[in-house]
Amino acid sequence: MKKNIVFACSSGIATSTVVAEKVREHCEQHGINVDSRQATVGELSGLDDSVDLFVVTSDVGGGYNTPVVNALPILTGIGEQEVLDQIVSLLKG
Amino acid sequence: MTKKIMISENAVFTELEASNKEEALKKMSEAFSENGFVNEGYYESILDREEKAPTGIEAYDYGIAIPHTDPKFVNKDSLGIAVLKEPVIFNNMVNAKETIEVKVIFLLGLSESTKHLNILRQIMELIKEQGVLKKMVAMDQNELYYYLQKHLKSE
Repeated sequence: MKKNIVFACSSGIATSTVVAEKVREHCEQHGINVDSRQATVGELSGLDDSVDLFVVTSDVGGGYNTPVVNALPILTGIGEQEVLDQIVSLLKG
Repeated sequence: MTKKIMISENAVFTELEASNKEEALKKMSEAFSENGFVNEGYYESILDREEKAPTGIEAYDYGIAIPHTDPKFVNKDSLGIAVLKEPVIFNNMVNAKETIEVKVIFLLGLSESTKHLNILRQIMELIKEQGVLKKMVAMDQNELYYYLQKHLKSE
């Protein structure tokens, strides 16, 4: 299975990269091949509906058609497993 | 060989007294500028960034913040840390309307974005372990400095 994810944070380079590495690894362990790109928060509305999932570490507001997952737990470790599992189930569902 | 991250010894604060985040960041930024590590405008740009893209994070045991800014304000890579006597309020990184009581500030003064990334990853790996922040908060200045030197690498 191949899925497209956009990882977003305020700079599009810092926290989103840290999170992207973890998510990609976890997805691969669950048989999901991830095609990803990174973006700044401001770029998200232009990418709405073009990918399977937005994984974010900044305040991105609401109103997207694409499902949004808050990935802060992947940075802090608190609730990390739950978020990784949620991502996999969203992508598989 | 692994290179150690430059931790500015005078930018390691324990029991820092500050009534708000501006005051705390001012004291930390001043430690950087005393050493010539940052340019004029560093402090203002940190505050500006914090306004637009807050960096408060609820971690195990304590709230933390990881302020950083454009590399153009930085002359020499450095990391500062402040354990505050009383927490100050930052806004939440993923929900800017929410506030977080921050007890530990990691101030990043890094000249290349890729270094931000690397040091950010290491700080996160470090504090993800439950109990680490608690341990850091209880250290004196000297212990905290050597603890960070030991656990963080520049590349």
